[in-house]
Amino acid sequence: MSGSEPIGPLVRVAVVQAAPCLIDLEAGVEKAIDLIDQAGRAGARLVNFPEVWLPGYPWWIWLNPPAINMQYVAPYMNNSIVAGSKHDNALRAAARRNNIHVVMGVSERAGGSLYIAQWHYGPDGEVVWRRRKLKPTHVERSVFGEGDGSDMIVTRTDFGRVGALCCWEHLQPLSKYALFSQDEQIHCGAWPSYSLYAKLSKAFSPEVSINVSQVYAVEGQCFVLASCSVVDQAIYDMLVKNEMHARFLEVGGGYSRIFGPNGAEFGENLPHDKEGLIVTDIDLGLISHSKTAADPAGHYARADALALMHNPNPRRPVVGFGESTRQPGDAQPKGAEPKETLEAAQ
Amino acid sequence: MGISHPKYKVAVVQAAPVWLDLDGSVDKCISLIKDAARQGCKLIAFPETFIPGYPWYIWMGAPAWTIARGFVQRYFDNSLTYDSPQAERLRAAVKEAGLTAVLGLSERSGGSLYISQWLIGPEGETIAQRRKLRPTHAERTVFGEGDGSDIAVHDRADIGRLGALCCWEHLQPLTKYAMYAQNEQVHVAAWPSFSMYDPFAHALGWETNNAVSKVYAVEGSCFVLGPCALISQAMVDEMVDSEDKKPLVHAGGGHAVICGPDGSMLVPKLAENQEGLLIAEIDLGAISIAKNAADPAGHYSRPDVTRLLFNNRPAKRVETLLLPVDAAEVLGSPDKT
Repeated sequence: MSGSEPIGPLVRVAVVQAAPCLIDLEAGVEKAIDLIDQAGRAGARLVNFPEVWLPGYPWWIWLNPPAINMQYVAPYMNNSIVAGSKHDNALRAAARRNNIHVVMGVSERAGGSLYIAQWHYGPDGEVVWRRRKLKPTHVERSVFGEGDGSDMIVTRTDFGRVGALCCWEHLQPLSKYALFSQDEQIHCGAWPSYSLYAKLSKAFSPEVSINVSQVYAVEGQCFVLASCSVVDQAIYDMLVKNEMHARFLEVGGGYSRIFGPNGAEFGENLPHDKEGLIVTDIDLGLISHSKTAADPAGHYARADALALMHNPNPRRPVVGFGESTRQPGDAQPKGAEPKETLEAAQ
Repeated sequence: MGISHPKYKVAVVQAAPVWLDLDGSVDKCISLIKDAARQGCKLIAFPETFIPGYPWYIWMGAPAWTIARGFVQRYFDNSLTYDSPQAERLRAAVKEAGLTAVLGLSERSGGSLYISQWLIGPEGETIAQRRKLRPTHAERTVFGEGDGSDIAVHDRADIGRLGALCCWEHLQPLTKYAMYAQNEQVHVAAWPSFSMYDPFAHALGWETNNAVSKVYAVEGSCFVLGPCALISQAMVDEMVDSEDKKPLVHAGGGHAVICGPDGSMLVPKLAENQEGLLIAEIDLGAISIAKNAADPAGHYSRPDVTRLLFNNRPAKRVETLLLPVDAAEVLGSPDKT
């Protein structure tokens, strides 16, 4: 039987449940920094944000035909964050000021395209990684491009091994296996709100979505920090224009949760229409209890029958050839250090 | 006119086994098969190792205790072999009922036992005789392993594309993907009971594992039939022979479910200590809607990044070989070939 004494190490973590400032990057970054400060004051080592929380999830794509949604295209593009921008640096500075890891859900603009991205900032304000969702779901494909094999990342921090996925990436067995096989201990799941189509499809309901995070934790024997946006009245008023819309989208939908490797819930949940942080201490020692029963890329694997092929390389749309005449700093590859210094942003 | 989809009634068993009693177990199976047929079901799904019951004692005491109490001997002797009269009775009963049955059994083959599922068609024919690939934890002290050929989906004209897995095979991402990639439509997820180590081992509890069945349905956009055994008070009394064993198990633990491809529960659950059949009508047309949002080996896949490497050949224990010198002899004597 499992004892009640902690095994350790204990890590304090924070999970955001909050409404985004929809299509307002400036205000969104300000609100994000406030939440990072709150997490820092609470002593958290890591804070996780919802999917594309900057500048909010584009719920309208599920409400209208493309022609009607054209009105949102330019504002959404203009309010999507760019790596190396002053907004990016302001977030990095907040991570450093609070000596905290931040996993931020963003709509990333790179050139003329947008990506569903998660950016991990370290406690020194460094960019630990930037990842993009591999395969947007359904009508998300009308807005966002795709990541590649280099986006399946688990990184070692000084308190544990941290990985991240967005939304229904948690329904992709091979993506999950790619992270489990990197010995993930703390998983940052990013979700929009569970108040879209919730009454139309059980698959979009809070109940099923919460189960998906729970099962991820049990399958991978890791802690899952599932961060979920809230649809507040302002977002609702902006998007809901008729009775049909009202059937498709509701106020609330915030169901942030923390699950342990045994599938049990940790921390104090918030009501689904309330904003705030779930802050709790997680005991990484519990992982060993769960690993004794199942370890999908270890003793529970059957590599003679089933194995994962993973291409971890970045996919580049242009491959250079011939004699190099440019300097390495001329191009700005994905995830490159920004030109603007962190100090300049502060 | 597009395609038409099978639509039919399914039965999912929630019942206590006739524990460690092969003939009793077979009788009970046959009675449940008849019951399902009477109610017009075309498919019935049984819990994990329902014949002759799950070996719960492995979680209750030391290995020597399980032998001294006679459990090991009884379990071996009451496990089912494929060519036995009991197996014949089962196949005949399925044929008479005119349905498809997915049986859960401890299969004896030679000197070893396997966590098996037999898929028997309405003519009494064997569709598949599969074995769980990787027993969990203490199960490894009882059972051997299946191989890649046991991860299979079977195309059936009457009921659609049928597959089956046991218990925590549903926590194995690669195994799941292998099933989804075969375009599974109706999946049998066989479980033992969830009252062992309840409530202190959350991972083994009903809440977690009902979620596992549900998420399997959503991930694979398929129907999940989740039969589940329960532990009777008589079984508890037989195992609990000392004070320290009391907290480890209680009677009940039946949590059978039927899930739609969107993760909805199609019928209410029974009480955890209640025996019976869960019956639902399933319409395979609903799968198309779910697949519209996610199809893990289709439009939702990224084969440039990840692929499954799958060896689905049987792992034979003995390979026969022909020495060249003997081959010459064989070839030289036509009457021997």
